[in-house]
Amino acid sequence: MGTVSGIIPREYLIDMFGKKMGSFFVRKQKGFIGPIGDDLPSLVPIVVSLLLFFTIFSVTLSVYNSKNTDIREQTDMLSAARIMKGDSIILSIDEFKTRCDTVKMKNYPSSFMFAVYKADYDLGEVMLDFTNETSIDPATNIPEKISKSFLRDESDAPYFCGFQKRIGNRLSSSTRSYVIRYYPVAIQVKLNSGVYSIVPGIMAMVMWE
Amino acid sequence: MNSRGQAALMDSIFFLMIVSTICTTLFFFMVNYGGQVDKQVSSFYSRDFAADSLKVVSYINIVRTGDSVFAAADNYEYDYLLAMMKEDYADKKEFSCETRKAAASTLQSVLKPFDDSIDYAFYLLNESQTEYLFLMFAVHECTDPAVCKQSGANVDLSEVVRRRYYYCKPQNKDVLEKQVFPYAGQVDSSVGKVTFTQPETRDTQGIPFVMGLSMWVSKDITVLNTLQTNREFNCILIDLESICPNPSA
Repeated sequence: MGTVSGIIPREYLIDMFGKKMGSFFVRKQKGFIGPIGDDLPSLVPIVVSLLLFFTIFSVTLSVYNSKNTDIREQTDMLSAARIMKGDSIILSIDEFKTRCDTVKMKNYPSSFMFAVYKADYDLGEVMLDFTNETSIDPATNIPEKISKSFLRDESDAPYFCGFQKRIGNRLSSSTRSYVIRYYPVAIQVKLNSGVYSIVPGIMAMVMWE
Repeated sequence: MNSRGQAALMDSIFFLMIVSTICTTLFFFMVNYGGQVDKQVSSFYSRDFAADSLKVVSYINIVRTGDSVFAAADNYEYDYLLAMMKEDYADKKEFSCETRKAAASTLQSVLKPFDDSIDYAFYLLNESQTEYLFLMFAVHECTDPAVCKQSGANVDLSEVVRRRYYYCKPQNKDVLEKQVFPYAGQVDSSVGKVTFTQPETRDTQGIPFVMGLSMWVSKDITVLNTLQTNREFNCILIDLESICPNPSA
């Protein structure tokens, strides 16, 4: 401290920082550790507070974003479903494809798959059908393979509609965030006897990021 | 010097308290955020599902024996379910065994995605709300009360709980609102309108009926456990497996 007072005159320091600051540079007091060391007990709660705040803030932001994505997926699903099922009746594969083209816009925010099942199908297998037995090429948006379980018309065309985002992930059993919904539909099919009949069907839809 | 240190410590503790309050607020915001929207979206979905189910019921073809189209052979005679309902109303003002079976099997197919978890009531109510033309309950019923009364995770109820369909002719039109819905929790309903014609009247003079479907999460509701014996509900079991008696025999 003596050296400091030797370089800067004591009176000048007192003028510049006030009496206390001047005395800091000038003489050592009993029990004084230093400007940080002296306030160490009060620094601990401040550091804890800041850590707590930033941790909770980052967790909240992450949960907020994730819930927003969920909500958007669900509302997208509702609006897409309303287009796909129309008035809850599908009279032909052409009608189904027309609706599919309406939903399948180039910049659709989520990837999705829609498929119609006969109402007597075991719905426990639906996710396996979508993840293991069906896939879409992200580059061309053309299905690479389509599950045999989906309802087909008399020309063996499947009641399936899918869209894969170019930069999105493929649907797999490890996909963490997805929404699946079922809707009842009436669907016109040709029976073995050659007669057309309107039978109950289930439209399954899955949407993911 | 001492009091200066205590003041700094108190300041930082106050700071910690303020930050803790903000963190608590953020935490509750995080936990509750999206809850209302989730509920709203689920509600939209349930209502859509109920409305779609009613539409499917009005479009669907069934075998005139009351069996499902999937179970029937190809040479059976098909008709619209709604046409069979109108025909029965015009003939006897009540639904025949075949029509009841057809309605139950159609709703079974349509509501299959939630068959394990929901109970429901399907009804046709005179628009003047004086009487039910048709009231059907689909409920989960325990076939072995001793097993069902046992509590605990190790009890597998899937073997003893069965889906049953009841056709009811209640004495009072308020049975649903007063004896079922208050105990069912959230009930998702959808209603439509159909017009039935009596033999002596022309098509334009049809009687309007409200067609409704109300669904709720399956739970233990006393009146629904005693449908067969409750005189107020006046119900009979619809057996989907049995063959309907020939009316001309």
